[in-house]
Amino acid sequence: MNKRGSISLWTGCVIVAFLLVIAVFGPKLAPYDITFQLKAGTEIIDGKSQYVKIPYPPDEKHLLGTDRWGYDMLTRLMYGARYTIFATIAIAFFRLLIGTAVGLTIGLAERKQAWWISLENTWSYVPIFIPIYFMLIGISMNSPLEPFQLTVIFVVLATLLGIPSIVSSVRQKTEQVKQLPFITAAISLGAGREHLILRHVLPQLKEQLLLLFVSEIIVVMALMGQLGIFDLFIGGTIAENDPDIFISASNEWAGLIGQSRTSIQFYAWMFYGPLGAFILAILGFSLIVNGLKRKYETAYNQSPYV
Amino acid sequence: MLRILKQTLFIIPLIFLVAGLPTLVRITEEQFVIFSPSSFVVDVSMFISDLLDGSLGTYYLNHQEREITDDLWPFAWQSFIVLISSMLFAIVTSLIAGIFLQRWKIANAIKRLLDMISIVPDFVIILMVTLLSVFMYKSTGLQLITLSPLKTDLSKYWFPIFTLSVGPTLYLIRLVDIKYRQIGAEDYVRTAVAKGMGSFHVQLHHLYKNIKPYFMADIKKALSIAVANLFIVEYLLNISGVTRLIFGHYQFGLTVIGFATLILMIGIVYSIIAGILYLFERGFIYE
Repeated sequence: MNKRGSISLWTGCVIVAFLLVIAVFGPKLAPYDITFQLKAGTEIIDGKSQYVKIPYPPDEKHLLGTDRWGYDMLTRLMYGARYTIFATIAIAFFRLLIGTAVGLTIGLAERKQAWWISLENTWSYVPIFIPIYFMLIGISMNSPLEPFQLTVIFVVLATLLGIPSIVSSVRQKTEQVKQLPFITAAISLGAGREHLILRHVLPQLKEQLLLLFVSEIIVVMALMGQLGIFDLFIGGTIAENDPDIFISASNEWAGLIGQSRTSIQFYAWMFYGPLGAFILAILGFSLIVNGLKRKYETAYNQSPYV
Repeated sequence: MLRILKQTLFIIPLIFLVAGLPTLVRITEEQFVIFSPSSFVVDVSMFISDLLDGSLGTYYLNHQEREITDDLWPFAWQSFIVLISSMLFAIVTSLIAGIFLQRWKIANAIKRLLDMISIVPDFVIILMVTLLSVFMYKSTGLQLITLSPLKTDLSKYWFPIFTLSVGPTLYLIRLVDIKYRQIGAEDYVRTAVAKGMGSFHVQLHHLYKNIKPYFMADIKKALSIAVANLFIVEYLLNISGVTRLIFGHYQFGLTVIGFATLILMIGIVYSIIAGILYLFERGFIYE
């Protein structure tokens, strides 16, 4: 493993650890309560009375400013972190769990499962945010359900729709491994199916599965961002017409980006705060992916002749 | 031919299903998720009866009833131009940068930079490019972008094309680069180089030819990335394109027609690209 890979891996781990701390203890560490609302009015500062207007721009009292209704942005981000981080990790985990099981089964099957391969192929070209959008729009807009319940629904849907791509990579790798001589040897020595999977195939897939898990987290974050652009926020959207206003019920980060997109012109801090947090999260996971890739690939590196 | 027919038969019900989902699955005030196939059946039969009457039906835009047939063509044309231009841009750039400029130090430095940018999800890049162009206008007075769908000059096209091409370009460049590294290390490449063939000749005849099958598969994926981004670009840049029919104010018939048009458009764009690459091969490689 080369040095740059290990630096990238460690930086990524530190960022992700930091995010996990925020996700778990966010509400406790937040500077304000989630219900705290800054009111417009006059305030005495250094003996002079000054008018406090809302939205309040970033300063030492509100590090990331407040939104249009006077809620502290940093507080909202810290409350929303658990939705962003845990939902993405949960989706990636369940996709991987089910995808690996199915992929191993299909990959080790005696005959090629043509129907599955054609399904897999077709599915890989469908942008997943479109079916999810149409499924959730009736449920998630002004929903009577709690943000947590809506997040669970999203996790289930996003997991199910994302499984084929995981199955595809696991199946292909399994089919490669199946050709190797030690598998034939194991079979001729009388190894059963379970033994074959646990002792011979899974150890070969270990590295790739870890890589898939982290990359899948990034994919899911991008999906949440795409939905956020179309005002469908994870954990529910509170929508108002006339004028059209969309508010994220869970303060999930991609939702906060989508919500403050319209404020960009005059109150840019409302947009850049969530965007910064979101990009930091993606950066953390990408650095891990990069580090892992370098770690695994150094052994097989080739350089072209031309 | 039979396969295409089979696929069409499979796709049509799928379009109906996806477009019908918002009416199929809803939630009531009492927290019951309701599944109502009856309204879906009504929607579908209304749509089919409209079709049998020889029209595509009407839709409402700001409480005004409009014929879908009148708006479909200009909307689809706008999207088509944007989609195919950005795909062609992505393909040409990735082939040139990934295969023919492989030995240029500058090209490789740029590629490393692009690799870093590609970490950022496409929707953030699209937002950032838009913000950057607004910032440029503010500081230099150079207007690159228009959000008015009524403008007819070139600015209506080139900025969306540029923004849309970012995603597929980053994707294709990365994949061509990976394949180049693998195939460039093959023995037949070494043999060709050892025989004293020029590097451009080897790149064209040994590398491009062998990268092409993988590249064709990647083009499909790049096209799907471009389509996903098309939704975002048209929405953010206020372009009256085909995705407006799908993600506008939801109306069943409109969404079905939007999806059908989009899928047809993807097929046409893919065939045009495959045709161009075929001509390139005939013209330059097999002469």
